[in-house]
Amino acid sequence: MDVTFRRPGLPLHLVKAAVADANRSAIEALYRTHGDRVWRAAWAFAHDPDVASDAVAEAFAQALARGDAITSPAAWIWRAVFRIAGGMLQERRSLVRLSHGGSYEMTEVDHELVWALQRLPPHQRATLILFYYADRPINEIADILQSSSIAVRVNLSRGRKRLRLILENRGD
Amino acid sequence: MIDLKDRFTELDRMPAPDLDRLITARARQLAKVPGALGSEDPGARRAGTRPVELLATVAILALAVGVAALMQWRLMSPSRQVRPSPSPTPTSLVQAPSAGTVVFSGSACTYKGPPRIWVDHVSVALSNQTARDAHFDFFRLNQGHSYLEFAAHIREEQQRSQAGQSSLGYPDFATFLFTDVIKPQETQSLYLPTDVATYVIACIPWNDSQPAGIFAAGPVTVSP
Repeated sequence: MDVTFRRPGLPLHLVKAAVADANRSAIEALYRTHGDRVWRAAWAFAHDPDVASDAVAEAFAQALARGDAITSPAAWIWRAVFRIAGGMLQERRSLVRLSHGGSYEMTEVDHELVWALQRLPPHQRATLILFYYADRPINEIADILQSSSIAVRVNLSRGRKRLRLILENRGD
Repeated sequence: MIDLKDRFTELDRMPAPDLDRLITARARQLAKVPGALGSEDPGARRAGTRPVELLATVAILALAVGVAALMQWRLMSPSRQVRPSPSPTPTSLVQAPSAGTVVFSGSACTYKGPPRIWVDHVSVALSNQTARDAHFDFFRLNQGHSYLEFAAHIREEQQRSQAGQSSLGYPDFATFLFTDVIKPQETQSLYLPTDVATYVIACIPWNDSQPAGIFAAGPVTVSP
């Protein structure tokens, strides 16, 4: 006779619901603690507050909707935000729209840095923002940008050199 | 030596919006649509072709095939002999009429088109006729300021650049909107906004690592 030993505990659907709730709480906590930082990183990358808001909202909404399918919410959010923002910028390249929402006053931030960042190729720009502002490690940046650690190091080195040159020339 | 870490920390001073309601609404929307999260790839659905767009494309193609078949049928039918042949219509239904072109020649940036255009009316083309990348920076003039002030600011910026002096930065009487980079010998369309305002452009040729000049173009005034 087959004997199946069952562990005492909650029914499976309740366990799943509990995991989903825990994940939802983790994502909400992530937004509370890091949402502003993620938004600023997206804004520095896209130089457009609408793109930043759309990308961040979409990433967090998708994370909430996916629930426990996401094992590492923080890394997932960074990856989603940069990929969504990158996709939106690509779309905009073929059909540029100049809208009121795209304008903003940069009275509180470093004008020169944001201006200089836009002069870098997208991969170098994203790498510098993720490294210097988001404090992400090299291997995670590689994952976020779907690249390799070596390519990230090269982009970091070249981007750093180029950004310094632009800032120095502008500040002379 | 510039400390990049310090410079990036300055970004913390930028106020971030509260996206709570936007996220909640979008999450609810995603939960209601079966298969909305079908891709494991974060952002792929948003960045790539959306299902709705795909369906729309299929519908348009089907319609086009239908119209083509109908046209073919009409051409083949006897009525062709009694009806005058329709004249070709070159205008595209999806493309807005062009107001003009911002042309960067390398030594000048020129807006060629009507200075005043109407809301919801037109697109403007950006043409880079040089052999290197060119940035087209767009600004909206603040009320009470004119293109002449902008042109003077850009001229001074150019002179300071040539003299190796420090940059003036963005003019404080205009709001910077965005930069668009146009590849050498390429032209791209820009859809003008519905906002009533006067827009001006700065063309910036770009060498490998730094701007190599700056030129003003405009104005383009969008009227109600």
